Amino acid sequence: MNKKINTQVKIGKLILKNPVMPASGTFGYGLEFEKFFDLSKLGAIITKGLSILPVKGNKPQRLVETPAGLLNSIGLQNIGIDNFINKKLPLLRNYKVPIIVNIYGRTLEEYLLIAKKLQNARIEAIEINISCPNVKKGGMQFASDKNIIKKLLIKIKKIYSGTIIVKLSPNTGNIEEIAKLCEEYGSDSVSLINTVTGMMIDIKKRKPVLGNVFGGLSGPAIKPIALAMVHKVYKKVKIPIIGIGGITDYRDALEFLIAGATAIQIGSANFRDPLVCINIIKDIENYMIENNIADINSIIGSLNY
Amino acid sequence: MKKIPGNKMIYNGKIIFNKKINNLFYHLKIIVNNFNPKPGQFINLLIDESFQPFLRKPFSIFNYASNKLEIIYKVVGKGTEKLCLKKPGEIVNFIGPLGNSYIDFLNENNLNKYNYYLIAGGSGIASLNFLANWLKRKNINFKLFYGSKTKKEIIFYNKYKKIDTKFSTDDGSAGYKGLITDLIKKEIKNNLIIFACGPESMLHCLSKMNFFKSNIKLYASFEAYMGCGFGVCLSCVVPVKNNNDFEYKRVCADGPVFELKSLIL
Repeated sequence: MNKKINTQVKIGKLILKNPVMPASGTFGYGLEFEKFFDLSKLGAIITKGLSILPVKGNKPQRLVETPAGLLNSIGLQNIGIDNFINKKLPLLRNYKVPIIVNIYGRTLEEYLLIAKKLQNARIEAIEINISCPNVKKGGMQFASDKNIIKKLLIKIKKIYSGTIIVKLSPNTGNIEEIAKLCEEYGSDSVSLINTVTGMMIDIKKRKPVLGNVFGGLSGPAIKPIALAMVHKVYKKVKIPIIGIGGITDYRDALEFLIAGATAIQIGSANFRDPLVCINIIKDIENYMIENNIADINSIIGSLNY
Repeated sequence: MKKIPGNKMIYNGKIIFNKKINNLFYHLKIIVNNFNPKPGQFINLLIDESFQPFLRKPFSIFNYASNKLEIIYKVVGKGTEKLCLKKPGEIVNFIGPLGNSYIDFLNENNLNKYNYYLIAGGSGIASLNFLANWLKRKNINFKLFYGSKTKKEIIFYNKYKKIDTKFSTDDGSAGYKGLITDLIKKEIKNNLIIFACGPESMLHCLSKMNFFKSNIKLYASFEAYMGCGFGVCLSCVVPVKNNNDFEYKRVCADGPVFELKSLIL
């Protein structure tokens, strides 16, 4: 890396060497990408959403391609927080990269139990999923219930001392209000957007294509929606925003930074190109050198109109 | 064409030919060096730089020899509609080899102890051909069963006829008239290892046959809608028995080959 440029950004107490990280659910537990590149190059690693106990996930079909994107209803299949801490975390710690654990609970108590375990395991940051559209319990109810979010943040902050990021849903209709609420009650950052609720129908069978009927839409198809939401939230809150939604190259990433995101996550594009994260990191550096930008922080929120 | 530097699994290959071989199937041959696939594994191919399709598409490895990779495919959607237009000399990008192999279930020290049946239903031949070539190279006797709707849809009929393949067709235009699974029933013997690849109905039918009571082992390669192909998206799962319960396993990374009796069909 060129020493003249600074790509370091700060999210709460977390210092990222660059603003690029994979989105939860598209990067497994990180180790699956060891065969493709050196994980230490990432700004951070974000795990698949983890729950207190292992989760089987939804019945197939779980994914289908849509124009410039995909719909999924995986249903948060995961190995459970204890298996993660005991089996995956020690291996991930071989890399010099911050680990952000994405967590999900069916009840407030479950979130708190997981947070406590992550505090003990010295995980530096958690991303709280209050918005997975693909599970029947919890999920959406949490995402739009201000009272629960308030309670959750107050209680979790007493248990967990690392950086707290709340992942927001585009499906609640009031993402700016929810972001503001998260800021008020001590969240260090918000990440947005999670997938957009959608569906696909098999016209021959007149049945939904996905086993779960509804799924979450992601990929380039949702990028303009995500960008608008990031910018709207940027105008409302002072805490750093992590932009997510349809990023496939450095230009997309820069759009999010200019719109006000301090960092970005890359989701569906990891499936198409496992090297996309490190290519974007390299391309952002090249862009900065070519355009004489010394500090990436000068790009953040630089949109003018 | 060389491996893309810095990783162990992403390749660029140059197309030698890409041609229609009957009313249903295309045959694609690519030059790719330092590739080391095993029978039953697959590649996940990037159709082009556009987002239509957005995801890579998985293809069974039909054969790999002398730096040449072959796949057989049907045009089924936007990806293969574009793939079939690609010309010799064009470069294709793919990830591979992915998944497990039929031969992972074999013990190389006592290969000759068993009889081997390979059961291909329709496009299932695209994956079993590579295994047939592997067994041939090892001088292991095997019998290939190849079922199809009609003779016209059978690929390389003459080549397979030469190795005493047992054909079946729905219309009787080649070999036994009827289902491949009915043909198998008549041929069952002891010390048998069966490898199967074909439509779900065929695998379903095989799983219902009383193979498991005798010393017959039955392994099948499965197909499922894939997102990534390398084990992270958890889309292509199948229910696998686990004590009195089940768990979802990934076709792309835990499979595509499973012992048939371990699955809940």
